[in-house]
Amino acid sequence: MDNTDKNLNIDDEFLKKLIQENVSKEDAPKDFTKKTMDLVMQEWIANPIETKTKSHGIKYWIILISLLSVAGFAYIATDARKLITMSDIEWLKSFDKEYLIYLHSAFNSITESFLQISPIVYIVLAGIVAITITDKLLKKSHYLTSLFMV
Amino acid sequence: MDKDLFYIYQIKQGDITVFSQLIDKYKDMVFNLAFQITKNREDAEEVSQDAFVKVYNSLHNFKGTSKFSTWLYSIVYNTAISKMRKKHIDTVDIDSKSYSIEDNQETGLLLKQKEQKEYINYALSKLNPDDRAIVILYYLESKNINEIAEVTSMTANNIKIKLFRARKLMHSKLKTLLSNEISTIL
Repeated sequence: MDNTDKNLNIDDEFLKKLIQENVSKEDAPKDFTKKTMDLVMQEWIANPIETKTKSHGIKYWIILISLLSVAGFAYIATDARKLITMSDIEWLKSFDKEYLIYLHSAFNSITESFLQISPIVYIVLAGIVAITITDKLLKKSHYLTSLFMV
Repeated sequence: MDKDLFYIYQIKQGDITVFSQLIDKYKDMVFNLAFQITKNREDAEEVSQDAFVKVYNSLHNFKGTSKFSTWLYSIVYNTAISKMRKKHIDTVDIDSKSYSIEDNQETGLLLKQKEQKEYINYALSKLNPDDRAIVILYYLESKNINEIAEVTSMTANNIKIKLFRARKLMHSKLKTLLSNEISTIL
């Protein structure tokens, strides 16, 4: 540190001491919070902060409808078909012979093709899904922790 | 970290009454900075209230990347400076003059025997509002250079230069005041 730097540091400390000892901090008036809240409330009435509810995107609905459709087809082609074949209602039986039998065989062939896929593919897929879910949960818990940390 | 974020979260959820907690917490800090810039209690009150209303209106812009207090300070600083720019006050721009480094120990000894408070406040009042705000944030509020740079939207180097010049100007003002006092006594 050269002499100039030394002088500057002394100057700095000297001034800091003078200011802290001699400049008094001014407090807000007693009714400040009330008056300011009145103004803020006026703003709030004119322009409220609205909570934006997270609306589900089209992607969400496509996935939901697809999953429900698959579940519906699976039910019709398996459990529902069994119930229909066991029932005595004629029109249901003919409906089964004309349509459901094809749906059933199609569903079976899809199931068989899935079974032919190597188990490692399922394991990798399950891993990816688990990592994605864990990541989302961790992010959410980190955000909540930062909110409630005092 | 951070009760402030929790308050802000609640306000964003629609609980406006929580805003009073933020006002209560920061009112003195805000008022003091506004007062040190404006040097007038009425103006300081107006600036502080305006600043809080601006905070409310811009709360959706606050992402929490910097401290809430720093963000609040920057709003108060800008509100106070723009108010002061509307007024024409007799101040000295520290950028426009150069000052020599004098022996501050001597000044300090003399100051102890005089009305320090009066002189310091006078010297401060002679700085222009922007420079006064920087001096107050640095010396009175003990903010670091980077925080002040964030509050004022200036570069850290610019802040250092302004502080350096402010020190010289204040020193020079104090010296002049004391010389006048001494010659009056003699």
